[in-house]
Amino acid sequence: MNAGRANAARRPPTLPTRITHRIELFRGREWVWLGAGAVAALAWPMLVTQHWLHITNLSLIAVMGAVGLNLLTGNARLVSLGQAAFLAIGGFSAGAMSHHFGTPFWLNLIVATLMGGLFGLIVAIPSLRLKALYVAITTLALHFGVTAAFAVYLARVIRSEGILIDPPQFGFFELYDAAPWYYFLLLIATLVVIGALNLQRSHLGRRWVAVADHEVASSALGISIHRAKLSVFVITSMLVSFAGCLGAYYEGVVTEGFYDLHLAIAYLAMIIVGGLGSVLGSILGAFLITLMPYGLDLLLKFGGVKISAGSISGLHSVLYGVLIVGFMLFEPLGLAEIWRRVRDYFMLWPFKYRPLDQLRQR
Amino acid sequence: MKRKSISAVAAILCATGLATGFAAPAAADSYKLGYITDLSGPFVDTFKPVLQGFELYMKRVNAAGGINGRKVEIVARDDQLNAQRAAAHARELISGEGVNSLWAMSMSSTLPGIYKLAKRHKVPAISSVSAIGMTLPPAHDYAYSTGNPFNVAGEVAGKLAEQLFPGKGRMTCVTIESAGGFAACAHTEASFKDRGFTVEKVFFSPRKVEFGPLGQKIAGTEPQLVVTHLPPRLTEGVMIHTRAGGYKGPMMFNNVSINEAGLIQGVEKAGVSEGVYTFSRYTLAHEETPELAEIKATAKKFGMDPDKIAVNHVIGWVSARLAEAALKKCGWPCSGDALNNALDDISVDMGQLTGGPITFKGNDHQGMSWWKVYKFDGASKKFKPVTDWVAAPSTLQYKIKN
Amino acid sequence: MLQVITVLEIAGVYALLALGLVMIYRTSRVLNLAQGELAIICAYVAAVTTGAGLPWFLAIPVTLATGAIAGAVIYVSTMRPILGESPVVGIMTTVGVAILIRGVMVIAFGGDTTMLDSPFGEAVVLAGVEVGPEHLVVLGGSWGCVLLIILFNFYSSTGLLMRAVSDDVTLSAQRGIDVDRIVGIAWVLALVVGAVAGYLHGQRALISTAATLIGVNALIAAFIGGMDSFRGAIVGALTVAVVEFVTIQLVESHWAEIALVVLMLVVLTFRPWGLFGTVEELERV
Repeated sequence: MNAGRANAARRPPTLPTRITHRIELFRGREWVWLGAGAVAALAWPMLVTQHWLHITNLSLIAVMGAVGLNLLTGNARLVSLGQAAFLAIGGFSAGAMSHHFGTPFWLNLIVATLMGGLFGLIVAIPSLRLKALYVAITTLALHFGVTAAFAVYLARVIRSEGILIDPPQFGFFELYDAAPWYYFLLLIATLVVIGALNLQRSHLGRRWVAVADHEVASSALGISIHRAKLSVFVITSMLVSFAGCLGAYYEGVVTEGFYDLHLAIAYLAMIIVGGLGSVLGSILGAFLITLMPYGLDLLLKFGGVKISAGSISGLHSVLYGVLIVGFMLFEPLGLAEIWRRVRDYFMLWPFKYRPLDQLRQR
Repeated sequence: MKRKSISAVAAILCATGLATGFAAPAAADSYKLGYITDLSGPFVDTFKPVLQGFELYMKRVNAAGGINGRKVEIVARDDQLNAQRAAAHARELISGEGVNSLWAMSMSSTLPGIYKLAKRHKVPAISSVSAIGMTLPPAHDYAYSTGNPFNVAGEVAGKLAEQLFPGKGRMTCVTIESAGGFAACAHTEASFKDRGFTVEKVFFSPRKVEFGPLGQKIAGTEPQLVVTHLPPRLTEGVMIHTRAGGYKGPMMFNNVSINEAGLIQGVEKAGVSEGVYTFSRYTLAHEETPELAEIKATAKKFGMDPDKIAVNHVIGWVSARLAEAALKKCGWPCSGDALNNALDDISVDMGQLTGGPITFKGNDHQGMSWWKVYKFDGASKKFKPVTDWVAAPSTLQYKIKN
Repeated sequence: MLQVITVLEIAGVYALLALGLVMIYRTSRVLNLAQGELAIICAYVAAVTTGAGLPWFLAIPVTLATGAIAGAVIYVSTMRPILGESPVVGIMTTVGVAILIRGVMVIAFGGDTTMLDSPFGEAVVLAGVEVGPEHLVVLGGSWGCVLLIILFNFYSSTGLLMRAVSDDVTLSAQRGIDVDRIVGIAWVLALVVGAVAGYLHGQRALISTAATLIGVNALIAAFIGGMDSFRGAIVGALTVAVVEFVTIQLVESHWAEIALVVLMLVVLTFRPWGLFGTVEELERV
């Protein structure tokens, strides 16, 4: 009896709103998992070849972009087809800055992020009056407008087919090889993930969900719809442009052709497959979709199937399509939900449902 | 949430680790050449035959025992005409597959990134269809080309036109809105103005083409000669719609690996078979030379229809011949750096596949090129040469500020 | 004169695609982002069948049948399960369908660029200008089809049912209209019309994976005109074609894209429901 009361007193608030609350929930087993994960992540470059480290780096960049898109499309329920445009804004801001002014990496990263926010604001303004359907089309329009503008910029101003960007310099250290990039990206991606988890729990994140659920009801509750929509566009666009800038530095070249609609759809595939509205889903989806082409190549190689390189990229498209449609129809909550179900199954076995008090905490 | 995500990342990382085991590179017992080109993008029907030409030659080499006793392996990647994708493939080919050189590449937009990577990783990159300023003297290290440099082509167009259309007049240069396009028409303009022509320029976007308005715009400049520097298909589209816009005079197309069948299809659809010219760095497959007979025989041997052989295959064949010569010189084992040394001073005779040998020397990684004009003959439905080979040096004659 | 014909041709193809979008949107409230892809894959089918030596009077029905089958398959397999869900789901699903079709295009046709031959032979002189046969096919085909759609929608019994469904799904279902069947018919019809547009596009321009961008211009046309208005789709298509033509003639073609986007954003900012669309009623708690 007494022990029960003591437990109740130690129990953190039912809705953990800060990361510290979350950490208080950690028990021995969680710390072991966390430690194992951290060690595996840190040892990763020693375990794999350069090629796979390169793919991991691409996935980490995709994680940042997908987290941003998922906040916008998953949480605020505003379908964005402008993901490639915002990535391009990040990449081109960095390219233009270093080309015209020779500015250092950190400054370009800040400028790229701010430019993303600015364009997010621009596209948010017409969407204030519009519903979800129309937001898809304004962001699609943004995509075509922005990429055409960058094509003109490349042809007329740069007079080259692309802008070459030198690797970031930290003092005498040049960030070029895959392993240093990996640690750098891992650090930033972890910060982005923690930030996004916090954002979802903050008043801002909860307002976004409220407005997405019902505009009229949430405005009756005193939430400013305009402010909520503007903030979600600006913040997520900044995050996506930030990822775009890092991606451009990682590739070392920015061209207009890279930021095609296919890229925007690949990101949509990430969040749909991973799980709409879930940060874990963004991570799973980003890794899965980035790995998919390489995995498919391996599979074909292993199975001894020989098809032309051209058909393989067609096959990638078909797989994206099947994954998007399939998850949309059969598991709209994505891999994150499947993961949760599988984990519950093993953790609760032989029972089927969680005890009631644990349900409340989830 | 946090815990879930971290263990998920760990799980994925472990899964990838398992997959890595499969990806361990096989022991190198052959020359590995990286090949990057557009195999499913908008210009697949141009670039795929170039790869076929390259492969045909290497199949023949391999069947005859390889080079220095080693087989040649071609690792092809599809860039879908996209520069960043091409750069990613280049990185993967060099660090993952361990290739010692990169071949082909698609349009010029993919080249700057690849040349930069090539230099960084000390692996030579040799483009076969497109070419940009980086290979003209003073050339960048590790950057080579056997392709069609638009600015050189622009200059030679004036020389060729002088032979065919001696009277002065109005000409219109048509190209795409891109850095390469601007350079092509700038040099065309200079070389035609030098010969007393007045010059108009029409640019358009390669992204989405509405040919109708474009054709009318070209016809509206009332030219007496139209010269285009365009990738295939856009060339045919411009031809058809310029004819539809009312212009029936001579048109001269820079042959950037435009296969003959495609051009003929365009001529038929345009309905005007007179006044169709194309100038090409490599021999069109409608000619009869011993080398072409050789290519066709090889095609037949490896189960390809010899009638389908086009100038694209010739282009691939030429770069494969260059690759063979360089690898022979390089010996075994042949690192990227060693191959670069071999390429840095090389001259390979191409017989009658072009006007003279492919020569790279010192800071000139393009070398002298030879060009020839073909005219479409409506009766035989074939392109027939109307000039001899005209030499064009890789040092540009006209200085145009960028 | 030639200019006018060209604008009308471009507008005709856009109008057909935009009408397809409107038909789908009115009945099922789904924005079909795969319209351009579907049109072009039908054009590929036309190119392959004529390339195999089929005469045009057989090739065209095959093309249209492809469109109809695609419409039926897409409706039954992907759209019916999500009918009535939030528009977000519909958009995402059609995006998936679009990328799927693009992949099929690359695998089945190698992503080649091709052209279609004109069914008829000789050029005709129209108001003093020589007009090629393919232009006549495009002009006649597109605007003839537009007229047919309008007639079908306003003077046939199925058209009437479709209008009823688009006005109020619940009421029509209560009145005993088989909503499922009507929405299915709308999808099939829209994609048949899309196949026509693809065929006509192949008559006047190149067929390639990049040509799927005509779907985007059609979307812009439909949005400018109003997503639920037939009249709007036609006016929107004409506007888009004129803007595109004029910017290409006066400036350069990159600017045509930018101009269209700006035009659409302006229209959507001031009239979110488009020029002729119905003002959506207020949402209530």
